[in-house]
This record gives sequence, C-alpha cells and structure tokens, in this order.
Amino acid sequence: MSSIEAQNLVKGWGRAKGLNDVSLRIQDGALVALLGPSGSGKTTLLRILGGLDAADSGRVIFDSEEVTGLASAERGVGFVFQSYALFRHLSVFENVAFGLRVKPRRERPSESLIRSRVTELLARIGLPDHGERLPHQLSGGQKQRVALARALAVEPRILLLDEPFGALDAKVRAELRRWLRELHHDLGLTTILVTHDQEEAIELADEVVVLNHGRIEHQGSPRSLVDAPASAFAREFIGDAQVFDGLVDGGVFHLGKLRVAALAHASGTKARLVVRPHELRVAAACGDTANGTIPHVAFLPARAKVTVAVDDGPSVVVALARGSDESEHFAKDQRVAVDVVQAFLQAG
Amino acid sequence: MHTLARRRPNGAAWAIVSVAVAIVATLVAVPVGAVFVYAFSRGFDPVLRTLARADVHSAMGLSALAAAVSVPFVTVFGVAAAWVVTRTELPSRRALAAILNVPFAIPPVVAGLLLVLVVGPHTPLGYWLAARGFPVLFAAPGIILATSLVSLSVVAKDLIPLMEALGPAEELAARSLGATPFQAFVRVTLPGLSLPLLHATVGALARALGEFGSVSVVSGRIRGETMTVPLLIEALYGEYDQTGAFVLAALLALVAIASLAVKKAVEAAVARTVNAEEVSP
Repeated sequence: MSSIEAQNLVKGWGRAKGLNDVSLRIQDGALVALLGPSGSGKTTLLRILGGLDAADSGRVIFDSEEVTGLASAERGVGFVFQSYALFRHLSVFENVAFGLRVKPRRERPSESLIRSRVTELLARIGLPDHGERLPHQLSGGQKQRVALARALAVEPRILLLDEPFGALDAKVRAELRRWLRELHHDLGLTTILVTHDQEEAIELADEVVVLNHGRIEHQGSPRSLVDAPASAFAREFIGDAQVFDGLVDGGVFHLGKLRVAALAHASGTKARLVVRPHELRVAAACGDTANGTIPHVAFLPARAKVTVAVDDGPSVVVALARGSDESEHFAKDQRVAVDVVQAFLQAG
Repeated sequence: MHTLARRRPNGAAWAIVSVAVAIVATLVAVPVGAVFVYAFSRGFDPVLRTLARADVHSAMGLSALAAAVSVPFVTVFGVAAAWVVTRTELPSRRALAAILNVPFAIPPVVAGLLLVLVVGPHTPLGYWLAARGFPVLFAAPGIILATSLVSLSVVAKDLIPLMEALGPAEELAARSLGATPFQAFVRVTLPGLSLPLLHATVGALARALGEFGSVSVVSGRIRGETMTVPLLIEALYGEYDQTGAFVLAALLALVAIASLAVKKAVEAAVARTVNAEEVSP
C-alpha cells in the first residue's frame, strides 16, 4: 500500500501517446481509473508510474520515496497487461509462481511456501482446480484473473492494470468489474487502471483521471466528473454528450428552431451547446417548436433512445426512461417536437 | 475462416486445380519418384555396394561434420540476431535486419568466392593459418565456414516474424515480476520459442546438408577427403556412375522429405498454440 505522486511528467512532448507535464497525486489505498480516448497518453502514464517506461523528465514518488530511476520490480509494482501476457509455455500454477521463483536465492521462499502461496491465490481468483492448465486452455476472463494473481503473488505495494477488461465480452466485463472491486476492498491495495470505457471508470473507481493529448483534463470523484466536469473536453467526453455550434441572438441560442436560453452570452456571438441524451425531451409535434422526424428508436432495458432529425437542423439523440406511456409509443417516421430541458452552453 | 471463401467448385475451379496438380506432378512428384526408382533400378546390390565405398563414407562424414558444426552455430546466431532485432531498441537493429538478407541474396558460388578472398591461401589470414598447420581452404574448416555462411540467416529469418508477432509482452511481464534480463530470456523467451526453434533448426539442417555451390568453390574436390555428399553426387554423375549418383541423391532426398515432414508437424503444433493464444488483442 502506498500513495503515489507524479511530478511534471513529460514524455515525447506534443506527440500522440505522449505526456505534456502531468502532475498527479493518488491516495494510499485508492482505486483510480485513468480514462481517455486512444492516444491520450493514459497507458504511457501508467507505464511510467509502473517503471516499464521512462519519462523524459519529471519524478515519480511512492509514499515519500522517489522511485523515478527504479525498475518496476524494485518499485514493488504489480502490472497486469492488456493482452494478459501469460507465459504460454507455463501452467497456470507456474505462471502465478513465476515472480516467487525468480527471486534471488536468499529472498526466495521455500518450495512449500511457494506452493501454499500459489494455492491460496488460485483459490482467491476462483480457479483452485486450474493449476495444471496451460494458458490457451483458459477463457479470456480466466486468463485475466490468472494475470492478476500472478501480479499479486509478489505482494506489490501498487497494482497497475492496463485496459484489464478490454478484450472481454460485456457480461464477463461486468462480472470481473464487480470482482475487482471486491478484491480491492479486501486487499486495500492502491490500484490504478487504464480504460477507455467511461462507464467502467465511473462504476469502478473511487477517483477518475481524464486525460487528453497528454494532459489531465479532470481529476476527481466519478460523480464530480459527471456533474461538474472540470474542462470542456471532459464535459464533451462524458455521458454521450452531443455537441452543437450555433449563434446567440437576443439572449437565445439558436440551432435551427431548437432554442436554449443564453442570457449570459452577448448577441451575435458564437456558442457551443453540450447536451446529453437525457437532457432533451420529445413530445407530439406542434406549431412553432423544433419539429423533426424519427429515423430510429432503440428500446434498451431501462431507456428508450429516440433519434430525431430536426427540420433544417441537426440529428439529436433523446433518452427516455422506459415504462412511461410516452416512451413506449414513439416509432420510426413519426413527427415529434424536441425541446432542451437542461444543457451546458459555453462561449464558442 | 473458411465460410467466406468456400464455394461449390465449378468447372473453372476444377480446370485450375487440374492444371496445378499436373504442373506439380511433372515438376516435383515425378522427378523425385524417379530418383528413387532409378536408384533401385538395378536391384539392391549396387545400392549396397555404393553405400560401402570409402569415398561415400568420407563424404557422408564430412557432410555430417559440416552440418553438426554449422547448424548449432547458425541457431545460436539466429536466436541472438532475432532477439536483437525484435527485442531491443539498438539503433543498428534495422541495419542488422537488412544485412540478414544478404546470405539469402548472394548466390552460393559467390559466397564461396568471397571466402576464397578472405581466407584463401594467398590472403594474409589464410597464409597465417596455413603456416600454423591449419589450412582453411581445401579442408574441412573451409567447408564448415561456407556451409555456415550460406545458412547464416535461416534461423533468424524464421524467428523474426514470429517474435515480432508475439511482441515483448511476456518478457516485460517477467521483468515486472522481478526477473533479471537473463532470467527473462532463459525462462520466458527461449521456452516460448521451443517449437519455432525446432522448425528453424530443421530448415538449417536441410540447407546445410544440401549445400553445393559455395562448398564446391572452397573444397578443392579431393575425392575421399574434401567432398561432401552433394559434391560426390555431381562427381559420380560426371563419371557416368549413374547408380552411385542416384543412390546418394535418393539419400539426400529422403533426408529432405523427412525434415519437411518434421517442419510441417511443428508448424501445425505452433498454429494450435498460437491461435488459441490470440497473439494480438
């Protein structure tokens, strides 16, 4: 268990996947998600924190000890790789035992200690009878858990996971997410995971760090990210945000016939509307509103997603809670009116 | 995988397949079969007599020696070169990858002549070695050198695409678990490559046993002393000893077919593990 601090990390300034002066502090025992689009530098940051990659400049500090120059094993970092990186020629048991077996002789536990430690870990990941299997005989979710057990075997101070659930199907992802959450709760190990899936970050983490172009755009609780994003990028990145540019005239933002109050904006200025699907409303079409046609409706378990092509305007997606009468009767080709209930307007 | 490409064969498909089979049969199957038929055309006695000759034994011994030295050498070199090219950031690794094509690209005869230029009796190095009772040209060392030179990149060329596809993730994982670079190489890289390495080694062996052009230049062709099996085959053929030539040719063909079978078996085994392992996400 350790707190982590990154100071002014720079790697490949300005380039894709680089870091442009990133500073970060992570509390002891936290579960943090690094979230961002591909090329944002989130994996680079993880690798530098883990000692798999060196920064061009800047420092990494665990607790109050500088570890910038240390290799990952010396930092006490457990790393779980994106495509598992299990040793193909070794059994599950030997994969998990690997970190113990390569220790220098005087630090290496006895064979019986290794056996009991690995057996305990295999039980913990729910694969007590899979010790003799080879990696290619496991499912994706099982491989991921073996990779995690392998990283935990050497009792790291910090656990780093690179897109841990990236290659798995949705159901297994949800299961593993819950499992990882419980594991973190039991072990209390400071954990950082990289993901491009905002739902995963928001559901799993205590704290979310949003990166874009090698810079931190937001750092805070998942709720703060959803309710009060710290930057325009974070706002537009989160929650299926729809972004529209338009003009303000007489305190009203115009997007075709779609109108939003814009009292704080001067007439004739450009503005940008950021609106999420649930912040819009659809109703029966009538006279002077923004009317449009529905090209597509998707009925999900909890919500209906209605796409509306506004006349002389953009296509917008509206989300409605299922169950209400109105959400159930929308259909393709129907004429409806759209209306913005709540949105964020920023000066363009 | 097959569902898209598989269609009910029509007339054109049958025609193309028939032509292909006919070409392969006339150019490969029939001649290879003929070698065996010809070798045994006069019964077993001439075959046994050929196999009992002293110059044949000498040639087999020399071929075996050349293979026994060159195959381990090019295997070690190949693993090292493939590792440098695919697992290091050395600035020279691209150059090395390019140079590895040279032994494939230059004709074997030219490779033999190059050796004459470097270690021939009239060069300082060759003279110095010969003066100390260690002649390189027209002797076993030259033949071993020539064999090694022409098969130098066989193993590296086999391993590089595979190691490239596998990526460094396993080694990185080993390092992050506290393995030293040496431990990562010995416990992860090498064992992970055991089947591909067998495949590559068999290829190098086949190449070493069949090498003609370069060895022909450096051997001096002294019957019973510096002739390998391929050289002796040519010599026997030139002397109208058809049976002798074809018996040895059949022997070489047999070794080649056996090594091909081993390679195919290994390829199938590699495909099984690699496919199940999804090399890239």
